[in-house]
Amino acid sequence: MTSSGHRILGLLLGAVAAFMLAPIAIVIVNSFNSVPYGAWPPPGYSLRWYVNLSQQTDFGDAAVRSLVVGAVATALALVAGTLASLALVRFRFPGKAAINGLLLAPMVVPKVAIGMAAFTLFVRLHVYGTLWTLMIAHTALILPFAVTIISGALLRVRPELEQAAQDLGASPARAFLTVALPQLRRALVAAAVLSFVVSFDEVDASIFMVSHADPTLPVAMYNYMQKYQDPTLAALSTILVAATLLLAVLLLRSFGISGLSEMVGRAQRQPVIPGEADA
Amino acid sequence: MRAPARRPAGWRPDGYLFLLPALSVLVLFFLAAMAVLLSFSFERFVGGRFLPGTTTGNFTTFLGGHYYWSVIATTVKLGTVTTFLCALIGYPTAYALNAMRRPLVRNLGYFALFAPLLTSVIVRSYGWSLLLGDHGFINQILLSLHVVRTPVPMLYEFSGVVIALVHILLPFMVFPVVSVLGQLDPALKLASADLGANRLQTFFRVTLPLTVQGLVVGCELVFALSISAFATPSLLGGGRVQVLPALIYNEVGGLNWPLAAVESYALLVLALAVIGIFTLLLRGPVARSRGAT
Repeated sequence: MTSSGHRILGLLLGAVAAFMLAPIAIVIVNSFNSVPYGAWPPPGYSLRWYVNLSQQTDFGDAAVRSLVVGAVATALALVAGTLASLALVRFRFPGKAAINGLLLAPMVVPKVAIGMAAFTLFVRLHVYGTLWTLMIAHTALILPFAVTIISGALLRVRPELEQAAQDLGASPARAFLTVALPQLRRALVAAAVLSFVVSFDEVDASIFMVSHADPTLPVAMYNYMQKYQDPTLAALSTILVAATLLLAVLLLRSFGISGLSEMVGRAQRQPVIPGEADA
Repeated sequence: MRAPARRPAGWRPDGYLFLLPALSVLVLFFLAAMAVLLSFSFERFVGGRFLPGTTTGNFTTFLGGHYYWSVIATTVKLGTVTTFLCALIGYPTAYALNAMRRPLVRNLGYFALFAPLLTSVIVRSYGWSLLLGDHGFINQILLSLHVVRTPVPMLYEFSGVVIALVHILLPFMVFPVVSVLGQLDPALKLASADLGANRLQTFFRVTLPLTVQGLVVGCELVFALSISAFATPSLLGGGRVQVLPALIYNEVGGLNWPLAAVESYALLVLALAVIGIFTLLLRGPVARSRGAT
């Protein structure tokens, strides 16, 4: 590549990076705005929107709700996803391709359609608006990510080592827990982080499942933005971005940038779940 | 002593046992919900109450109404324009990312593309509302540079929704392309140059045909995600850009649940049609273009 061609590509990359980071940067600047409207440039700077945010208990309650739902759904999806991955990678049984398709279906069906479907189901069962229904729905939504990442890693775990442990007297379960599971650690962490982030940020389906009085955090933010324009939302967003950056730094330290982008990239694509002959 | 050949050779029905937790969530929640949704679409429902009996009236209302077809048209147009722009920006971006040799530049590029994915769609849509408004950042810059005399209307317009969606979905275009570019054997480019091709010829006759698969996968993802997007079009469209997902949500608020159920299935059919078309593309012309080189 010639240096002029390289320079053009570098400029392009810089422009795209600016485009990608601009909306986040403007939110951070606007959170320190001194006036309740979003004009540019801000006429002055203040911390009043952070003070205002700290007085709004609704956002705090919504954040707790989102954290609890995210944690429970992630835990459920990891356990169910690991067991399902074991079945898909190591066992052969009739109907495997169909089950594989079903496991990935929540990734294909538009989130709004899933949300509307959940709404009709929960209304009919008279359980609409409860937190546990949202946990189950989120488990189904993030299960495809968990299965994709964990089964991809499980493919690279050689069963011979567990076989050796079994030959030395370990039960199959103990052999898996002590030999295979430590090798899956990185994949499990990756699956947990991605699942939690997807659940925590989910709005398109959740908005159909939560009542107006008890929303999750993104739904509360959506409702707030429909009604008000003041920078309280900017203050809240800035805190969320800071938390995300912290998470990203922690992830980078354990995965590296290429591992991280590979992880995200893989999770976007429907995987080819390893079958043996029948998949 | 057990022989190593004991491992999964035949049928293992106990596989179903391992699938039990995952399948119960999917069957008892996901499939059950989709089934109840279908039954809702045949309900007779007037003024927030169910009437006895079933009807196909909800389907005929939807399929016979010009308004609903115009919403579908807007949805498809939004998907098409967003996908086209994402491909136009995303492919060169992926190419540039792949070409950067200095790890710092490369990593900063990955960071800028990847980090926004971890932040909420609401936060990013809110950021765009600040950038795109009449008194927002972009219009103030354009006015102060005397590029325009009056603010360009973007917020609560189709264009603003497209800009924000391109921003939100660009990573889904870049990652599949970067991954196929990374797998490309550098020797192919050298061979092409040795055979007398210039850089442009090499790009169009070697690199592009071998990476078009990644581009098509990216287009499939972006198209499917943009026609399904709810929060961004409804926040930045301000009710003036009416797409199918926003319409479904509004029907629920307006207590027309059976019609919302019909529209949900219409959205699902649209999404499946998109996936079907792109799958055919990947199996047909794309596979041929890879084979031909």
